[in-house]
Amino acid sequence: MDETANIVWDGVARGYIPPVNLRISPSLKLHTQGATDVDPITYEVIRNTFTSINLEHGQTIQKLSISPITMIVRDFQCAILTEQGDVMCLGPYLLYLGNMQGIFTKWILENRSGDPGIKEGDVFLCNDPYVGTSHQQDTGLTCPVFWNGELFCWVSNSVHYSDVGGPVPGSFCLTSQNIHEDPPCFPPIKLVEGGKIRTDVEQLFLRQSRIPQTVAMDLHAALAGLRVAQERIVKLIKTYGPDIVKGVMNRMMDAGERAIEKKLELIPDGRWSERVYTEAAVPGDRGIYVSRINIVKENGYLYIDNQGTSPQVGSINNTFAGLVGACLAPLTIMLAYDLGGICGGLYRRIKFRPVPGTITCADYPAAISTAGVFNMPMVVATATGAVSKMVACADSPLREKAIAMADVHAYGGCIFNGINQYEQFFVGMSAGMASGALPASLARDGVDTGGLFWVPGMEASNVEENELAWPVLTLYRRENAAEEAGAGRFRSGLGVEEAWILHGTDRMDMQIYMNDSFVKNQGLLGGNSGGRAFFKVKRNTNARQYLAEGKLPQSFDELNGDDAPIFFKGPPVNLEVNDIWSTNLPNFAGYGDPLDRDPTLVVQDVSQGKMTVEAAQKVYGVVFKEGGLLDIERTEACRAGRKQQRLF
Amino acid sequence: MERQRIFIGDNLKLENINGEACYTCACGNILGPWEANFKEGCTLKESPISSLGPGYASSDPDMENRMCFREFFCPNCGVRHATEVARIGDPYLWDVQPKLSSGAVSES
Ligand SMILES: [Zn+2]
Repeated sequence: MDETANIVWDGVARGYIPPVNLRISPSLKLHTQGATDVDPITYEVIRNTFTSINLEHGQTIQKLSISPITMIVRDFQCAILTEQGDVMCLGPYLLYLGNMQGIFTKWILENRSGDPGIKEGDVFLCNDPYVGTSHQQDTGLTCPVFWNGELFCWVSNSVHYSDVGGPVPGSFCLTSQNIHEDPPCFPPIKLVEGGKIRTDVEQLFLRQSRIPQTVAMDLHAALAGLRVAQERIVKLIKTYGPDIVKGVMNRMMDAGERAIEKKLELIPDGRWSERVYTEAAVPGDRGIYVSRINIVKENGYLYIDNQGTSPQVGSINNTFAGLVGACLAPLTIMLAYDLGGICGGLYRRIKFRPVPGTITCADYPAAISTAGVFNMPMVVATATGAVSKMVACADSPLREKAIAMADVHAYGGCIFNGINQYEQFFVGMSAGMASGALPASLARDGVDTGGLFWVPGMEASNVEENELAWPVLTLYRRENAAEEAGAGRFRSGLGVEEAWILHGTDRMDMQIYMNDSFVKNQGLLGGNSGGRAFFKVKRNTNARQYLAEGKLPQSFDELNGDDAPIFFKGPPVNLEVNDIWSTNLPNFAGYGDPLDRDPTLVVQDVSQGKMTVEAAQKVYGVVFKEGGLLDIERTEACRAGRKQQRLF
Repeated sequence: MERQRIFIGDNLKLENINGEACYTCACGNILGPWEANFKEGCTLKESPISSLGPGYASSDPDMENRMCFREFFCPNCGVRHATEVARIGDPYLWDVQPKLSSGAVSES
């Protein structure tokens, strides 16, 4: 007998799952009346205005925030929701944050509409992962938009705040065994009431942070985004009337659903799965754990579960909201790529059957704060594997949209703190994943340093921007080689390695870094898996001597010094003045048998210096004549021989 | 939609052979029936992950030695249909089971 079977999905003991019919206090009046006869031109004008309002919301956050992770990398999301809290429009930002805003807004409708009430001019703040955030740092704000005393719709955002408290700078608490050792969780609370910021609540939130001024600026940027979106929606209602605007919203949801239905018709019924491994529930743990996503397609619906996933443990957990958000990210990219961010119809066609008490759908009080760099990308990767195999079975032209897995622990960078060149305490997040790599798809190679597909609007910071923000110098930033990692008939785009040294300070603590003990990525249908993410440190080097002589070190090997032992999840690494370190975002997954790759594509990689002649032969069975020309006959013979060898 | 053939990978498909849904290779080899994991009909090679090349080298060999890289080849023509990074001893992932025509989808 499962003792947890009676625990309800209420956002307290277990992640919140909104019921189909929300229990909303009758004191809150909802605007539901929508015209059904909107002419096509008005429909298109209003539909596109909604998209541009949401983009303006995002641009406001990006322009007013001061943390590089928000301002440059765009680790946030904004949305427009129906009066019932269903996500309608999503921005081109971090996709897994989208649907969560619907989940916590629905929780607010159910749990706050009676007491203290939901009123015009309110903004609720929520960073409770059990209610509906990916981890505590991704704090959500949601703002009801009223018209004539009726709740018309919602605008919302989720932003990664650089430090929201807890025992560790940056708030990623690797050693937490439960949520009480994590940064604090705030279930939805009114941050703004009647159009005025509640300074008591703002102070409560900022008081937890080591960098309250930075978090305050980012919080006000998020509030400004809501204000812009809310004002523009009210203006839209004033221009066209509430019933016309609501009629367009209803039609946008229905049209989106029909577009998804058409895509689903191209996919046969069936069952697809992916399995991804992770390690170290807390520092020092030698355990290996499983994330699993299974999809059943039947009668025009997708049913998704995480059966086969390891029980919740240590600090490597996410809640139901994280599971849903992470599964929807690759589904949005592979099924809703042509909907311009109007994704509400997609969500109607997907049903979740989560297994609670697992690392990807944990029950209270599991620790959640590290999910942003470990679990969330891991579940995105697991879901990507399952979705891509499903889409690979579809008819053209959908089939060609199947894209292989990106990184499993997609940080590629690091999170660090110390005293900066301006003599201030700081917390830095280098998002090495931002330069990214698009994995292979069924139709073509991935894109070298092509970004992270599940954060379409993400941008990598310039080296100079990093050097301005943090006490560091970049020694080099360069693409990986196109060799075995991510090889396939179509290969992955190439990731990137970046090496650094301190500048303007003599010490820095590295809290979070990615140094996989083993490769975690999975290749797609015969392709090689992606490479291993690594973080390495060389201590007591002579790099400064190089710099004094006007030379830039270009490899670890050319420098004197001692390689420091670095584990996957070790204690913070203290970096000192003569140490250098490098972060690597590996190439992602390849598709298909590398021995079937068009040899001319291999020649192209060799001629562009992305691959050596030796690797071309070893990985792809491609043989060159003297002088660098392709030897077709020997290539064919080599490949045939290699395929024969595989059988013995 | 009536489906008599489903392409899965470059060389892997599900098709009707004498009235039975089977996984087949592009070379014509039958890898097994719809009800079973097509990987059961493949030749398996299991190797240490880092043997694939320097891009997979580990900084923690004890951990890496608990994992392996699996390749599933067509036993007739040698083409590679699937790969897995897996913990040694874990079953093959049964990850692809589309179906040709109406009927229950396996929940296993
Ligand atoms: Zn074959």
